[in-house]
Amino acid sequence: MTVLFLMIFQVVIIALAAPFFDGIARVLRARLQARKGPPDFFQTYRDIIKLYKRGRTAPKCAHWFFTYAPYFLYATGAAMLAAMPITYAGYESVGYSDIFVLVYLAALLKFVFGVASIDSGNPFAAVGGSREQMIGVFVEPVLIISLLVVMLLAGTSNLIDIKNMMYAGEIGYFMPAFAVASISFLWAMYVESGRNPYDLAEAEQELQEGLLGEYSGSDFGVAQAALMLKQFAMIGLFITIFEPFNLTMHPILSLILFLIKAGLFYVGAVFIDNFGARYKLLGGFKTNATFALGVSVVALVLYIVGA
Amino acid sequence: MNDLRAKSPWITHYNTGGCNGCDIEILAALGPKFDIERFGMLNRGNPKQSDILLVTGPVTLRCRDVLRRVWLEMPEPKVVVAMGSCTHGGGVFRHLYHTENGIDGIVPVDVWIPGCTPRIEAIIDGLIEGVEIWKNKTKEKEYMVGHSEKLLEKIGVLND
Ligand code: SF4
Repeated sequence: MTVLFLMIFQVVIIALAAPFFDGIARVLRARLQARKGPPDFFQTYRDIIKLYKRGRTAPKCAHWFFTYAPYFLYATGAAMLAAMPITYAGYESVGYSDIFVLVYLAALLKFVFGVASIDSGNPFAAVGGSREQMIGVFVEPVLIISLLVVMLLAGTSNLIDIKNMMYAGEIGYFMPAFAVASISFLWAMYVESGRNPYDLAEAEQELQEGLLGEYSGSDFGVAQAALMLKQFAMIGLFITIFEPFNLTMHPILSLILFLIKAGLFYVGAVFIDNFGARYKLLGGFKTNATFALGVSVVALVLYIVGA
Repeated sequence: MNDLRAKSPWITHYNTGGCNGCDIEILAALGPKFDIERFGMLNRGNPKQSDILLVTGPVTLRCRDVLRRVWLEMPEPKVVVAMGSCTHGGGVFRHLYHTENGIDGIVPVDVWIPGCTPRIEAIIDGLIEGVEIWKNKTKEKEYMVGHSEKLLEKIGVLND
């Protein structure tokens, strides 16, 4: 019961705090481009509140799926966050907090996103949808192999057990396989969070915003919040597994620490985001994804030879 | 709550066949020196998600129905800002065979920004004025809800 309560608590707090970090990232991005940027850090809250109050539109050709997809996306994002043992790691083990649950929820989110964009009948959205799935094809092997190495090292796929093992120092960066897997997972996490070299979150119509091109008003607000939740969930997965400074097990303290760390990742990505151009989809991915895949395979080989 | 919303107006910019002078000024307004994101404005390029429609150009005959369609696609409450003298009455394109001589009578306009091309300060001033009107419209709920098929047919949206 406590665990359930803590799950809901952490999801609510993170969902409320996520737009704040987005606001910081926006101001920072504007400053880096020598602009002044939004008036303060709360601009994303204002945008979402405004969107909730506006009218909705739907194309005539769209089915029921289009209408309910934003809420489904949001629910999936929240479920991903709930599976993260941020606050309840010190309590009894729950089966829900599992790497496989997270991986499948991420795949489900991607699938719903793609289908909703194709259902809207907007040609840009359809192009963006297939682009998103293409990115998934490149990223998922890297993600799975690095997580597989961790699961093999820990002997379990339960995130709470993994976190406790990290805490007790049974697995960690002294194992080469673990350290190498963290590199490839970091790459996969960065791509999944939809930032510049691979994606441009607030850019042209065929990229991530383009998928939502037919949404307006509250639907769009919910979908944007859902994407933010998903990004925090991906960052959270990295922090839960690969982050060495597990300082505390206290629920509220660890939640605050998590928010600070995830916010650092989220805001810090702006620096990579701003310097350098976006890659062409296939050209960029062919070289980068091969390298990342190579790194993750090295991690697997290191595990097999027992290093 | 209303004031909160007024700090986040999103803009769609539509060029109906002008000389591009105005569009370059709009780009300058997005850039480092005049940055309209100071007021929370973003250039979205998607009428469904925008609150302010910024129109430039003399409205060519080809563009007329598209402009109406863009206007209808925006959810209420919305504000139309007409920018540049050719949007007002044709400007240098007045009485040409292929233009409508300005936006008047095609979509309802809330703010007029004069000049050819308007200064960036004037653009920002007009947009702020538009936000003010948008705020009042939101408060008083003075806009139509829903469009009848007959109306859509009359203004040339349905039968193309
Ligand atoms: S108002 Fe003048 S500068 Fe602007 S589009 Fe028309 S002709 Fe060009």
